Parts: sequence; C-alpha cells; structure tokens
Amino acid sequence: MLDADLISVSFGGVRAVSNVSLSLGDELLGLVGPNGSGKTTFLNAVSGVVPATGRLVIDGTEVPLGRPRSSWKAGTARVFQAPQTFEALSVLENVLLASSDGRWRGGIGTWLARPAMMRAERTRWVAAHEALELVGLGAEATHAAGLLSYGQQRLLELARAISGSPKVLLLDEPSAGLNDAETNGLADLLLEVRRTGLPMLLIDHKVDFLDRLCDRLVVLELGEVVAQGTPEDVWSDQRVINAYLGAPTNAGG
Amino acid sequence: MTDLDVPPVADEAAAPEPTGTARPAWAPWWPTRREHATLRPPALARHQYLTVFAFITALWVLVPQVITSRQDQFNTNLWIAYSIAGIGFYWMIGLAGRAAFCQTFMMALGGYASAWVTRSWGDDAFLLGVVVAMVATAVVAGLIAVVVRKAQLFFFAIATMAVTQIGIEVFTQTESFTGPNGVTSGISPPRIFGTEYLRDTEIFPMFVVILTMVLVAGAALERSPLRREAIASRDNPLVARASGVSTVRVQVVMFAAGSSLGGLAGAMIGHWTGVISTNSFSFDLAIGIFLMVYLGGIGSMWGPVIGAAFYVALPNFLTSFEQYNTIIYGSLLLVVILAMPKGLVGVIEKAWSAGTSLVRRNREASHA
Amino acid sequence: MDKFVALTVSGVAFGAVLSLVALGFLVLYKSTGVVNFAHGDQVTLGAYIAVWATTDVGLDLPTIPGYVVALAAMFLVGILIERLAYAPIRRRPPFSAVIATLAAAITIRGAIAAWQGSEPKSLESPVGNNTVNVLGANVAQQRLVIVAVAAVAVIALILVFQRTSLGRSVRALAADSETAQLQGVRTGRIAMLTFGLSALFAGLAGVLIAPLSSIDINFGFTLMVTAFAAAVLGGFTSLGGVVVGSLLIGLVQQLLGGYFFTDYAATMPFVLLFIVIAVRPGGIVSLQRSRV
Repeated sequence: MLDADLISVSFGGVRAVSNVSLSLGDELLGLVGPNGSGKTTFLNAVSGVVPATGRLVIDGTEVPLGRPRSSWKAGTARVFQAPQTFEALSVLENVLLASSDGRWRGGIGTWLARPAMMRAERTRWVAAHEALELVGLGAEATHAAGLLSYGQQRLLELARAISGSPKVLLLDEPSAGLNDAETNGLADLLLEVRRTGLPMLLIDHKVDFLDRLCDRLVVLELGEVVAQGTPEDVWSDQRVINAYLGAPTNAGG
Repeated sequence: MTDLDVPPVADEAAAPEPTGTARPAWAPWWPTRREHATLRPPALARHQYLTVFAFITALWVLVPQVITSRQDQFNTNLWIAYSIAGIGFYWMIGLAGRAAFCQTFMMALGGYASAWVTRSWGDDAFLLGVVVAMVATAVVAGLIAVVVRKAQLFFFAIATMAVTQIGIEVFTQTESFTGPNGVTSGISPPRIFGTEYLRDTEIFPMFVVILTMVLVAGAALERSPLRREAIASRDNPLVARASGVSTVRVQVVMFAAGSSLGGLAGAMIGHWTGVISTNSFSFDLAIGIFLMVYLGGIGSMWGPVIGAAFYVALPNFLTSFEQYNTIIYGSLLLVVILAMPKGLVGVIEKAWSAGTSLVRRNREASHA
Repeated sequence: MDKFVALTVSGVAFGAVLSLVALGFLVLYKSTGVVNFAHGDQVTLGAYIAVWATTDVGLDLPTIPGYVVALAAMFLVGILIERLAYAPIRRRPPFSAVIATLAAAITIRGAIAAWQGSEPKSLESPVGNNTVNVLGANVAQQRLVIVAVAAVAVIALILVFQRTSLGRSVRALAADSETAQLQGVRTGRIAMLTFGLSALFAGLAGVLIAPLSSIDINFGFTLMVTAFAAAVLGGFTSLGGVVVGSLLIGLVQQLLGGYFFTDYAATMPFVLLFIVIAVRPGGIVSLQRSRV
C-alpha cells in the first residue's frame, strides 16, 4: 500500500531521518522510538510537509516528495501531533475541507452554478456527518472548532482524516494528552476504522495502546530503523531496550 | 492570524439531530434549512439574504428622505462605490488572508478600461464597459496572484505595492489608453437601454442596484465551500494543503474576485464623475480602504460597508479641522487596531448578543 | 563616457541612500519581526525637520547642527512610534503590527501636511551645489558626501551588530525570539532602541538625499518601496546582502533608466521588486517554524 524507500530528511546540517525504508501493507503498523528519533519527521516526509529525498510509492503510484497536496492526492491523510483544526470554522466545515469530492468548490460554484454547488455540497455534507458520527462529534457539528476540548479536537482531526476516503492513515501520537479511559475509547475507535480495511501508520509512546492496536512495530533510533517485527519480538529486542533505556556503557552512565 | 478570524458564532439551536445523516425521500434537491445551518452562519446574521434585503430596502426608502443637499447625495454615492471596493478588499484580505495594496490600482484600471470601452463603442456600451472592467481587473489580478503565489504576508503586500506604483506610471505614460498625463475626462455617463443617468440623484438608484448584486454575491460567498477553503488557506496553509485544499487556487480566485469588485467600483466612479485620473486613486485612498475595512470590521462583509460610511462622512463632521483629517484617520486606525480588533461590527455584535441574552433572561424570568 | 560616469556615480549614491533606508527597516525587522510601513514617511519627516532646523522659519541653524537636531528628533520619533503603535500590540499576530505601522504612516503624513503644507521644499547642503570633475564628468559633491557618510554609517551599524551586547541581543531575537526571551533578552528595551535607531537611519537617508531634489509628501514613500526591492534582493535578513542589493538597484535604476527606458526610469525599482518577489519569494512558512 505504502512503500517508502530510503527516505531522508535534513534540517540544515542535521539529518533527522536517514535512509529509512518502510513498507506498509494492509495492516496497522506502529512506528516507535525515543524522542528525537525522527518518527514525526518521517511522517512529515510521507505527508509532504517537509522537503525530503528518497522514493515514495503509494498504491502503485510514485508520489513527489515535499508537496503536501500530492501526498494527499495519492491517498494519505494525516492526524497531527498537536491538533491542527481550523478554529474559525465550524466542526462540520473542518471535516468538509478534506472531502475528496471536489465538484463545484470554486468561484463558479459559488456565484454561477449555485444549484449544482448545493447538490454537491449536500452529498459532501452527508459524508462529513457520517465521519463525525463515527468519532462521536455529531452533536457538535455546528460548533466552532475552537470551542472543542483538546480531546475533541483530536477526534475532529480523525474525522477530517477519514472523511477524505484516504488509502493510508497517518497518526502522530493520537493518545498524547488523553487519560486512560479516553485512550481506550480511542483504541476502540481506531480498531473500528481499521475494520473498514484502512491501513494505518501509527506513532505512539504508550506500550499498552500499541500492543492492543498494532500488527507490527518498526523502531527508529537517531533517524534509522533499528528493529521491526511483532510487538512481542520488538519489545524483547536488546537494541530496542538500549535505545529506550540507554545502552549500558562502560562509563556507567 | 487570530485577529483576522471571524468571531466564532455557535448556533446551537440549529444543530442537527445526531441521526440526521440520511435524507428522507421527500427531501428537495436543495439543502433544507437545517442542512443549510450546518454551513456555519457567519457573523452578524444567520439570514444574510434577509439582512441584505432589509439593508437595501432601508437604503432605498430612507436615503431620499434624509438627504437634502447635493453634497450629501454625492457622498452617499461615493459611499456605495467605496463599499463595493471595500467588500472586494474584505474578500482578499479578510477571508483569504492576502494583504494587498493594489485595490486602488484595480479601481483605476477598471475606470480606465470602462471609459475606453465607451469611447470606442459609443455611450450605449456602458454595461459592456462595466463587464470589461471587471473581467480585465480579474484577469490582471489573477495573473499577478499566480506570479507571486508563493509570496507570504509582507512579501505579497510589498509586491502588490509595487504593482500599484508600476500601474500608476504605466497609466501616466500610455496616453492613448488613458489620456493626457493619465487623465481621462469627459467619460460618458451611465446609459442603460437608452436611459441616461446623469444627476447624482439618478445615479443613486442605479448604484443601489449594483450594491445589491454585490451584497448578494457576498452573501453567497459566505455560504459556500470557497469561503471555508479561503479561511483554511489563510489560517494554516500547510495543514490545508495536507487536507487537500488547493490553497494557491483558492487564494488566486479570491484575489481575482476581490479585485474585480475594485474594477467595478472604479468603473462606477468613472462614469458617474466623468473623470478618472491617477490622483483619484492615490496612496491616501489605498490607506483609506484599509481604514474602512478595519474600522468597520475585518471579520464580516458588513465591515467595509459600515467603515466606508464613516470614511466618507467623517470629513463632514470635522470641517473645522480639515487640515488634520489625515492625522485623525491615522489615529483612528491605530485606536481600532488597539482597542477593537473586530471593528465596529464587533461592537455591534457584542451589543446584539448582550441585548438578546437580556431579552432571553427576561423571558425566562417571566416564565418562572 | 561622461554620461556613463555620471550615471554610475548617481547610481552608487542612490544605492548608498537606499542601503541606509533598507538597513533601517531591516534592523527593526530582525529585532521585532515587524515590517515598518511608516519607514518611508520617517524618511520624509527627517528631511522636513532638517529643513525646519536650517531655515529661518525654524531654528535657522547652520546645516550640520541642523542635521544633528533632525537626527536626534527622529530618534525620539522612533521611540514614540514604538510606545504608541508597537508596544501595546507586541503579543498580537504580526499582521496587527503591520496595520499599526500603516496607521503611524498616515499620522506622520497628516502631521507633515498640516505642519509644512503641500508646497515642495528644498534642503540646503553643507557643500552647496558645487560639482567636481570625475573622469571628465561633472558630479555633484553632494553625491560624494552621500557615499562617504553612508559608508561610515553602514560600517558603524554592522560593527554595532557584531560587537556590542545590543547587537548580540538583536541577533538572538532574530534567530529565535522565544528562546532569546527565555534567556533574559529584554525585548521591550531593545524594541525601543531599535525603533529609535531605525528612525534615525531613515532621517539620515532623508537628510542626505533631500538636497539633490525637492521634498514633498511622497518623497520617502518611493524610497521605501525601492529599498524593499533592495532588501528582498539582498535576501532580506543579511545586512551585507542588503548593501549589495541596494547598490545593485541604484545602479540598475540609473543606468537602465538613463539609457534605455527613460520614460519608465522611476518604475524600474518596482519592476525589479516584483520580479524578485516572484522568483524568490521569501517568508514561506516552514514546518519547523509553525511546529506542526
């Protein structure tokens, strides 16, 4: 579904991601690693919001890197680490933005072909509403997005991501800032979305959350892949333990 | 960019039922009112079309009653023309976040283009001239916006400032298009199907009709996918692009549409006053448009209408301080930025919501 | 040949003035992140104050003390603008500050118009209208004075930036204002100082170029937009780059305008500015900056 080949990202002289190759099939893949290991940057590279080098193939088509709209067109949808909702717009409008139905969205639809625009808008509206229902924000549809709580904004972003009928869902620490109950609810929700057959790439730190969701884990450290496999294998891998806890060194410390 | 934000108006009463996704078979092909409500109602009014209708009716009925002097009629007409240019400016800067300094250039271009059309095709070509003015400004603005599509905030502002300077120089030099030293005089008065609109009192109803069309177009924009995409491109272009919004296209469209309203206003002023010169669209007016839009309120299409009224009316109240006008405008703009970032519309909104909550509380108290 | 020499000298002189204008608003931009649209009107104001200080309607001082008075006054004007138009909205989004500087620009314009009227004025130069012969071309001494004074001022500014604690603070703010503030850089004081310094540079530019032409209300505005072109061409943040960009713009305007597009000489800088922004758009929001 998604094949990333030798993806590298540099900021100035610093290599944040170095030749990472990763292949995502019809699965829920967890991307883990200590802070600063390049997980988010890798996701940024895949969704085109940072300039990167390498080769990215999504669903059989090669995607130019560093162009967010190309990545979106190829079928990626992204949930950001800090919720990136448009606070001036209503909750529903936030979801409508990402609609993959592009009919009559420009000036002609606005001023000349209004009936056609309204018709297209209605179908988009129904789809957006379904996405909101799924994440449990149906009742808040007309609220301004800025009035939502942090957790709700995260759900809104999830709704926005899935409403565009993506081919791959990229989730950046969706459980950050949520308590245990909310995290469990989110896991249920993600599993439900997963059942529709949508492949997902998930970054997170919570081990229980990852174990419950992920079919497979990939571990990054200092911008490079150090291990991959099923959650059990990965957590028992010595290199992973070193990466997280620090390698036992002679200096003792 | 939060000060450009439209104030969040949550319309809880119109929230759809959680199960409202499936449409009943009898539902019409157009969205029902409840569905409409989910295209979030913008500032000041949920019923934008009704507000437009009420406003225009009031204008039509009251203005001839209130106005006594020729000066007042002149100012009223000028107010309408400036309002239209201001609404265009609101589209590009308020909604799409493209701060531009070339609305006066667009006004001049529209004025010259329309004058040129009537000069070439005769006085009856007024309507054609207006259309040409709008199309020409939209095309020129579209080209400019495409060329500098990657420039952000200051750089876009500076680039459009350069466009204005170049434009003024070009207008002064291309005398076959404009006139000696860039002054086109003796422009034919508006003539529609043989009827000539010559005096200010005759011009006024025609201007009101044009303003109505512009306001309806504005209300249509407020309930359109274009608006939300413009706001998304303005507030967070990167995330908007990652969500599939073509920010460049949206900003180009909004800039071209806003500029064409500038062209329309310029054509109106040209045919009405009979003269177009680069002086009538100077830097002072460019600042004036900023003042109108910010004074009125950058978050609503009614902002420029209210702001333009102040801009035109203010000198009348300050006749004894005429030489200090500019200082007063400048200080006023500063006060608006410091004290009321949402402009007069924000003040009205606050008063309105305070009033309605008072009424509601009274009603609840009387029920209890 | 004479024409070429004359045009080159005026190009360099004009470029020197531009670099003063451009450095003035760039210092401000680096320390506060504000592009000051009142900068051009500060140039005009500086020239008018100098006229007032050196003629009998005002102080009637000799030229050089009169200039010094004007520069001191401009420093105070800069601080005043900071207090009134910038300090109250420092924490608001940058666009509010832009509008506030526009408001300051209009107010200055209005003040000048009310104070000096709309008649163009002229400013006397310490070297008068004397000319010198440079390689067979008659060149106004004032142009040589401009180049010399501007060079001294630019070098002084660059030294201040690199050697003093003020310069270090400003550079820290330009690199990362949040961190700089956490490290104890006093933004309020620095904003006042740089606003003053920036206005002083504007005044200096106005005083230097005014004797070559007449002063009217749009005098500084045109200079400012031309200086924008120079700054964008020079990369907008590097002081050295801006000086190079200014000289380039000055030369291009004088030479191209003098030889080829005589009708459009005044438009040259704007065309250049537009092209530069189209080809090299600055300020693209980067991901790191917006911290997605």
